[in-house]
Amino acid sequence: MSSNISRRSFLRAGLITAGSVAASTVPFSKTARAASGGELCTLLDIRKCIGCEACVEACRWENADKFPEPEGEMPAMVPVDRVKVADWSSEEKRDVRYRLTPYNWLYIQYAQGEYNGKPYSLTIPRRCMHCQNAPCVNLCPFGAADKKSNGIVRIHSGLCMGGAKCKQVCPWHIPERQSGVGLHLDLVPQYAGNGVMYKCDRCYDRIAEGELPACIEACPENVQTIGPREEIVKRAFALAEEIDGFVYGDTQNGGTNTIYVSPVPFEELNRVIEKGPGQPHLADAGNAMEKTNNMIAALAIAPIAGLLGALARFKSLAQDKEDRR
Amino acid sequence: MKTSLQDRIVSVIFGVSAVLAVFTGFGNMPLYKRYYIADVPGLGWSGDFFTNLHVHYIAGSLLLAAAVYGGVRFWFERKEGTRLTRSGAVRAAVLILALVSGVFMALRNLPGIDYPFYAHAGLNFLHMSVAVVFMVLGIGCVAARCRWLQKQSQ
Ligand code: SF4
Ligand code: SF4
Ligand code: SF4
Repeated sequence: MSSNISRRSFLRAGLITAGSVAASTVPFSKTARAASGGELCTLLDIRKCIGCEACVEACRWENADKFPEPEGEMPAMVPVDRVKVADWSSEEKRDVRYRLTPYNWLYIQYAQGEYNGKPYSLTIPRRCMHCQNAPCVNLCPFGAADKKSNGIVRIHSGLCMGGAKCKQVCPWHIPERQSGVGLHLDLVPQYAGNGVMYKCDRCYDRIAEGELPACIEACPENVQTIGPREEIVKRAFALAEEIDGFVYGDTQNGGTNTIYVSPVPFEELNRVIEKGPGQPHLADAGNAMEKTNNMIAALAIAPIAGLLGALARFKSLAQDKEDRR
Repeated sequence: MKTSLQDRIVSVIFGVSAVLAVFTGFGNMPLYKRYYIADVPGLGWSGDFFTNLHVHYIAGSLLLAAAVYGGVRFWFERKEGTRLTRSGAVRAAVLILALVSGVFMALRNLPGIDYPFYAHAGLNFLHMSVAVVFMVLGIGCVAARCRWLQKQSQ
């Protein structure tokens, strides 16, 4: 029943059904994509996740050709005490699966404890939340982080300078740096930039081809579903009500396109999960852009203030003339 | 153009906000922590991206107000034969581009407003480049004591 709202939504939007095609690989047609228009959102029913990491493997396999391939030595950065080289390219480091890295855009977080007197053990797939008003996009000084009209937040590796500002301003510090690659090597490699930032791009290329993101397709438990945001949010709350559970991601950071539903409160999950570099929290994420956007008032008032000031000045000039006569 | 105390106050606001806008503009790139600027006593705030951006908004707003004031003043003074100097015209054009692109960037920061990738990256590039040109022209013009306006003999 809960299997793939995505498929049903895409069907409703005009999907070409092919009975012979396995449900999990049903593509959604170009017309369906055009018809659905708005932002795509995912729902993660974490009760169902068994922590098998099939999604993690699928992500690594699917996106392998997007991964960084540094050549030769890492550039000697200036100043050396301030610019840390982040190199995940060795065989051993590429293999890391317990956190986010430039080669691991999705990982499984473990949460074990007791809630309401009952023990629980949950596994939670973690990756970029695809925020609706993403600070990583808004604050990237080079426009390398971009939000597509279908809600996907993507960092263009050809334009990213690796300064990691996106990571700093992201409430979950999601993007991960690989040094020794990217545009900055062609500019002033030692003095500005430091590699490229990587994160989940929601398999934008598969979506463009009418396919499901690799992690969604690979999951044997149908943990994730994808569809128009409005529908997914509705469904998340219905599910939460049904299981007497909790929702995370709908309002976090002003709203995201990744909604988790859990039988255990997220404050409790946040308490027990391992957090740290490459291991995002599950706490209330506030709203990173809120204060900035309140300041738009200053920009709106500015031209009026300038105009009024100038008019007042004319009035006094005219008065001067009058007095002189 | 006859200057008054009010005009002088506006030109001080213009100068200070231009310097602050350029400073915080550079601070929008991850440079100030890297190059110890944020370690200078009193400049610690410049290493925090959000604070830096907020100061950039305030500086941009003051610059916009001063530019509108100057623009409106000039518009009326034209009748009395006041004209932009050549350097003034170039600076005004560059400043208008910087301000307009900045306003579009601020609009993009609002929820629900996204631009297509090329417009988004292009806007960043435009804002950054005209701001650098404005800075270079500004420094050159202050050094050479160029004026913005001249009175045309009638
Ligand atoms: S593939 Fe599905 S069940 Fe397995 S870890 Fe990923 S989300 Fe959980
Ligand atoms: S979670 Fe972080 S990296 Fe992902 S879109 Fe939001 S701000 Fe950007
Ligand atoms: S959507 Fe694609 S890129 Fe993102 S975690 Fe899933 S497989 Fe990886």
